[in-house]
Amino acid sequence: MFLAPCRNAAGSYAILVFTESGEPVREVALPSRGHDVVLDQAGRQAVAFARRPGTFAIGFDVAGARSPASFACPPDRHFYGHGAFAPDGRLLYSTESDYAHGARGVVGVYDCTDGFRRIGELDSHGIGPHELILMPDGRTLAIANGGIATHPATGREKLNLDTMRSSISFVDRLTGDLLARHETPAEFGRLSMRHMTVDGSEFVWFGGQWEGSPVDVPSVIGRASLDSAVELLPSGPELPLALEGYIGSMARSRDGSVIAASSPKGGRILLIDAATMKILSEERLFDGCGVTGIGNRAFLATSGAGTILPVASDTGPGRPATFPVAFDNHVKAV
Amino acid sequence: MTRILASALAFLSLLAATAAPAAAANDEAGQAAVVERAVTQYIVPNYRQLAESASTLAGRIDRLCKEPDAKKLEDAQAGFRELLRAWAAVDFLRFGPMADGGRYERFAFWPDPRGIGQRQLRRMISEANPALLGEGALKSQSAAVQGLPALEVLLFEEPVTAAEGAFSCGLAAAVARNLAGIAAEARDGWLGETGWSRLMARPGPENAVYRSRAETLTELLKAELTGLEQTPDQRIRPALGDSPETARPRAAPYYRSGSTAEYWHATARALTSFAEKSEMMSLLPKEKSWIANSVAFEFDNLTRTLGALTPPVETILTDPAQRDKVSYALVVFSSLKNLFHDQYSPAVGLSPGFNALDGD
Repeated sequence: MFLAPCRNAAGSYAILVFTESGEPVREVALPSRGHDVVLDQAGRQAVAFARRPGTFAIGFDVAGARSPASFACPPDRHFYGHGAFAPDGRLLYSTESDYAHGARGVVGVYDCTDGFRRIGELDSHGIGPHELILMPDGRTLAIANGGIATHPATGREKLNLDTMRSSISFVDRLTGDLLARHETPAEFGRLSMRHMTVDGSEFVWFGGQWEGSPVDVPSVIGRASLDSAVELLPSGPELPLALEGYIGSMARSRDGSVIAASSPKGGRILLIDAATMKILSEERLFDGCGVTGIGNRAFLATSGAGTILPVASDTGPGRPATFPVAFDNHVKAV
Repeated sequence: MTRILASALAFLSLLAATAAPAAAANDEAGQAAVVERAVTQYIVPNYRQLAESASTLAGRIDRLCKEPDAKKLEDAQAGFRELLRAWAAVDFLRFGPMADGGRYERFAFWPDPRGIGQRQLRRMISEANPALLGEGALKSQSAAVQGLPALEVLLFEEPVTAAEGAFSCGLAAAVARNLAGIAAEARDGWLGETGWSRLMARPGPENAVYRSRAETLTELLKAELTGLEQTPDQRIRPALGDSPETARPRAAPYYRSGSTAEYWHATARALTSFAEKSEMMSLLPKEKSWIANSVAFEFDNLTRTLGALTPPVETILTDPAQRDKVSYALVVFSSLKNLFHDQYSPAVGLSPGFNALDGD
């Protein structure tokens, strides 16, 4: 089963649910454009978040037995489109902006057993947080602070590019303690780290976007861990240019040995060996962005043109198919 | 794993069978014709022109270095301006062979806010290593010294007709040959059995780049939008500033050769011509034909306004009357971008860059 936010043929926004056997199960309607959809570890409940700077989220059960429940962040916050469940599925964490204070990053804590009531807030330890993931210990949150300040009054305009600095912070979700925080290397201050996944060795892999000159682009993929600093994927000068300095989403294979990175601007899906940091394969997918692990070497990728394409590091691309929808940034396999 | 992939494949083919036909308002033949015209009437001829201009320029600089004089320098400088015009015709096409292998950035490393090109070029000139002038030697150097901005410094700021400028002249010739090589590769990449023209003409499941007709059409639309965005955002606004006092002529493209206004104007003509030659407006349903009229009207405004500027760029950026014209051009760029993105795209059933907006 797959869940993917999309814009459907009627021009409305929804989560498209489709099964392993090939049936589009149903759509879960969204009031506006969504961004990511996250699942609990049991694969029973899911939450879809508004694209930034939206304020809605929709909780629904994957089986579709109950009607979806919508909830919102507080009026002085907005969502960034990402979140993660606690291992038992009782709490939900989401990245949010305290926009009255320079897009200070916070993590909203919601009680899933009580109508997604907001019960607390943690500091994300950075400006403009984006994706947040739960580490395999079940307790540590890794948060990509993109470093870019925006304000709802000026939409998506970037307000601090001259001084921006991105970081990945590791935060204890129970105490809010900052366990580690790694910034981008000084010479790449204009690299915004935004999307993440964690490999089998507890390295957090990030995909970023470059805010500097479009012809002077560093690697926009890299990794860090609790006790190791940010390390960029080694590559010649051509790869970052081909990716147009922009990664749209990151995913891990089932066993965490292969990492997928998508570049919708460059129309490419890269598969990377997590252990050696070597690029295993590179497929073209026009406006390809959503990517999710479906095997130990295989992923499913989705595109804004409605195409779905299986890709694998050992067998190459599978046969694509096209839906009458525009798939949004992220897709998840249940 | 293989089993998982196999079941995924079976599942996908099922999906394909159940998926409804695309919602695009246009027939397949009309879309294919637009793509074909864009390629044969605009893209290929303009890459041919680029390769020809670059090769002509390389010849002129060779002659200049052999027997330097003012007349030959003038010819070389005129050739540079002609190459720049040819570049403006294709520099919004951020796809195809020119986008591969770092060719685009090697051809024109711009914008370069950290001044990497200048720094490296000055060092090369002071070191004067003759090995760098050999065939293909530049390719292994930084992209910042391989292309148009470097050539502009050499031809317009270095004493290439004097004895002490001999190395600079040789370097200019090497850069021009490098440009001619890149342009020829970009042109050839569009041609032949495996060329990009073929990829765009035959989208489908077996095509490694374009899986549907809509994708090829979206590629064209994305290019038009790229031009309508990068020109004001990178090439005009940083130089214009908020007032004559905050204007920054040195942030203007190709100010060293005094070509800024000409480059802007050539860009406006290119974006107009790309839309016209492809006849992309023919895909609009009848009730939306007002969009075509508005687009034509605004392109006309844009080209006229940018064609009425009087260099040098310092004057354009500080004289209130000329600043007004540039500001007006920015408004027209924005209007055209909205017309293409918010009106044209939905009217023909396309979603350009659905996932490529910064910050998601």
